[in-house]
Amino acid sequence: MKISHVNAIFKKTCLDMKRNKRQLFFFLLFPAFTYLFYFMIEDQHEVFSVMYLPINVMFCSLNIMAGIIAEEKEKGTLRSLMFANIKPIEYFFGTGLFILIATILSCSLMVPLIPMEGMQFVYFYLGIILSSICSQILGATVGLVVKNQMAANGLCAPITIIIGMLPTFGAMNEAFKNVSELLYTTKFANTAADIVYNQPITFDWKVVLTYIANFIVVFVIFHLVYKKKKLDD
Amino acid sequence: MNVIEVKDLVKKFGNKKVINEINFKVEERKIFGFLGPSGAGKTTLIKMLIGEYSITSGEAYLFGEVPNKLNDEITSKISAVMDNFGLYERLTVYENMEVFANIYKVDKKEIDSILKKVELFDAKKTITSKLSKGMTQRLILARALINKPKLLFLDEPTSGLDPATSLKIHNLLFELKESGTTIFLTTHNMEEATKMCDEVALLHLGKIVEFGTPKDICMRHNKYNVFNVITKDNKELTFKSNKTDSKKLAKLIEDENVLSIHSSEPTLETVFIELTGKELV
Ligand SMILES: Nc1ncnc2c1ncn2[C@@H]1O[C@H](COP(=O)(O)OP(=O)(O)O)[C@@H](O)[C@H]1O
Ligand SMILES: [Mg+2]
Repeated sequence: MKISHVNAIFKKTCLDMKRNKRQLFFFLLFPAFTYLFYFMIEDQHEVFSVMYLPINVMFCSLNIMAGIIAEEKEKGTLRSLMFANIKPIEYFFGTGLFILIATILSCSLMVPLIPMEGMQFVYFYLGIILSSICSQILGATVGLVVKNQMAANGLCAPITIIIGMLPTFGAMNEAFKNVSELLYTTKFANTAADIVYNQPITFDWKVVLTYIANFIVVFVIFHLVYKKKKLDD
Repeated sequence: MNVIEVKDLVKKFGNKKVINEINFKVEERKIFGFLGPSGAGKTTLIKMLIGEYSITSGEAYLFGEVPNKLNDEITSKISAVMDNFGLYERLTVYENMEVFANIYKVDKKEIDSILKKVELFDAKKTITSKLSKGMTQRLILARALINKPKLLFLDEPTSGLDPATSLKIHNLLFELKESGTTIFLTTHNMEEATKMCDEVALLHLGKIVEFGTPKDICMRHNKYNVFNVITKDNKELTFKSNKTDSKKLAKLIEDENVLSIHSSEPTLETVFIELTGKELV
């Protein structure tokens, strides 16, 4: 892996996204919802930041990664990058770095509504980073599978709803809880809830293992899809 | 040294043989043309050479190495202008060049000098999606030049362009050749091939049916070997190259009665039609 290649892809993504209003809008959507409901509803309005944080990470990281890759495939720019000897891993790191920063900024927009201090900040941002990475890998998988941007949006919507909303359903329903407890989004939602309701957060190996397990699963899925796609002419 | 070397190369899509055991070599600093009607397999051949398509059987070498196992050093010496290599539509002309200058770690000053060469310097701040077809084509070419390639693949570089733009591209390719670039181009335009190429191969149904310099090919197929003469009193006469006819022709010239003499060797186009029974479209 060449750092100069990663850097070139990162710069390219920044330049391109600056002009891509539609994708930039995604980064503002859920923070805007959070503010809207926060000020519209007086009672227990903290619940919206707990609910929307994990969805926002999913939404930004998954959608944007899938959208960028799908568009580059559709327009043939990915081919010219590969021809210039950009390795898939360099592409993923360059693009991912942009998305990670944008996701962090997007979630930071919600920070004024969440009273936080000290270690809570660390857990907050650590959760965002780990969830973003898992979501990005899923997004890259979607980008590989689909033919164009339209199809990418079509496939991302149900994935976002299932993986992003399950923590909320899990909190309400025992049957959902069994599944949702295995997901990185739920772990992040729990952390967010602890912060928002000012509960003490302790370091938990089970949480770390869940993130690692999720990372391995999404990575294996990505790897299998990538290998299969590569064999097609 | 041979920049490209191909031995018994075959490409199958399913059961369909699109490239059928072809052999050729391209020497350094030459313009080599692959000619054929659409569907002949020209694009497929380039894609195999640049490693985008796998090789069904046979061998291919670029600078002595197998296409999809090239090291960084060789890869950075090769460029390609293909239909399916897109541009970033939201970026400007300059920014599109910048992306690849960053990848190849080329000095940004090079960008301006290349844009001047392809006459896009004045449009450097234009958003790429707003460019005309000819400008887009020139930008794709400009982008391919950013790494100063030693080997340049061009898939139908002037197809669909107006004559003025085509001429600009032709002149640029001659310049590149002078500066040491080997050029491999495909075209279905026989005039272009005759003008541009040091050597050509005529491709038909995945096989090379004729090979050589454009001139040699035409001479080989010069079966009739006659001269067409137009006299000053506007008569069209045909002379064979034998003793009696030569004397008659010499007499006409002596009498200053000749307006023009044309030899009758065929063009690449007629050779192609003769060999394949097919028009080139
Ligand atoms: N990916 C592919 N899958 C199946 N058939 C293909 C593929 N690419 C090209 N072909 C077939 O190979 C033949 C040659 O195509 P191509 O190389 O594009 O010709 P040319 O560039 O000379 O017009 C065509 O019959 C085309 O249908
Ligand atoms: Mg073609």
